[in-house]
Amino acid sequence: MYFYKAFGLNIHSEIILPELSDGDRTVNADLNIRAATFTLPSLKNTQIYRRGVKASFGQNEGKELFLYWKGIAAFKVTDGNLLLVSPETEDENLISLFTVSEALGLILFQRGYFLLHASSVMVGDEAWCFMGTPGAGKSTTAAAFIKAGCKLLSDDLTAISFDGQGVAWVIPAYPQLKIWDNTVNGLEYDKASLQPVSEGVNKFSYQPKSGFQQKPVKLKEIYFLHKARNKKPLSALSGPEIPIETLKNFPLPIGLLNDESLKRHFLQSFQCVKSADMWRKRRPQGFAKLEEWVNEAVSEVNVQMHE
Amino acid sequence: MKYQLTSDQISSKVAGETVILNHNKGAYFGLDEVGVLIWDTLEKGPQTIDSLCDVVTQTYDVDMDTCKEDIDSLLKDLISEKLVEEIK
Repeated sequence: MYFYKAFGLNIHSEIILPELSDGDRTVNADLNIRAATFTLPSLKNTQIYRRGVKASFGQNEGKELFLYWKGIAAFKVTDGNLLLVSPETEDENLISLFTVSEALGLILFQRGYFLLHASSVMVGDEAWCFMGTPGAGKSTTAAAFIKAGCKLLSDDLTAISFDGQGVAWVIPAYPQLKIWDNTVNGLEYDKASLQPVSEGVNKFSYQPKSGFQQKPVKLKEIYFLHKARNKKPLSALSGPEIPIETLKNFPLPIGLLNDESLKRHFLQSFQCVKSADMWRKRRPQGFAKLEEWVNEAVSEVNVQMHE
Repeated sequence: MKYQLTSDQISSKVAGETVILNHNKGAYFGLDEVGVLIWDTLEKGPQTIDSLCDVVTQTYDVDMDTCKEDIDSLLKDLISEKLVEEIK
């Protein structure tokens, strides 16, 4: 058995998940991950690709959720506390990669978290999230903030919870940020401090395992990044855009959102606005401009903190 | 005849704007200023067209007939989107 921590959950796992933080074997599991075989219900194609493989998704009346990646693994997700993995490959790294992404996301969905396809960092004592279509610069922006001294909170999947007062908190994921080699070069990351990623020849992984932030961080800024020259460099999201943009950046099969769960998503998207600003921002062009923006933003937050 | 909000809808307000979701259909709606005033009034409970008209004429300089016509057409739209329903 392996013991991990991710998204604030204590995880007991039968399969090895090297991306995650080491956990405490003496505490009870919030989530059990087991290798098992099970029957799949009828599945529907999704628009979710990973490693060029398309995911299909299904659910049954018992509200169990299923995710299937042909040639990789099938996943069965129950009650937000049990994840069954049925591998179709011997490659442990591949199985881990798929387990800690959408499959773990389904567990978080069942636990009621508000989920975004976003990278997040801690700026001062605030959580900032970055979204956008693939290539818009989520991970690169996060990498620039980390270079400026910020801590990584999540890459790819951001989970948000709300406290009794309705305040939004980002739950730190696990210590891994995947960045392209041109970002590594552009931001002058030391390659010796990075791990090559098996999923792409020119991707690297930054793994800040020691000192990883485990406590939730108050959500403060959400940026929807774009590259369109015909849109304003920066504009606040209007009311109707809030649920629509967050829906566009929902990281799991959209078939999950119907009636009650769509209602929950709608309300949670507005609950975020009580804590956070939501911006549509044109991505600064080039690494110099990106770093300029990041350094200004970081020093502004630090000044506010010390006032 | 009274009008009330249906159970298919849920709404939220942000920066003076009201956004409505029909969660049964998965469709979003926005309202203009007067629409928001009418929606807010309907949120208090079922209303007649006269009671809605009273609220609008208290805030806006508009004659009763035009007001009723405009409200009637908005209610028809909201009814066709299953956000509002008629009760006897």
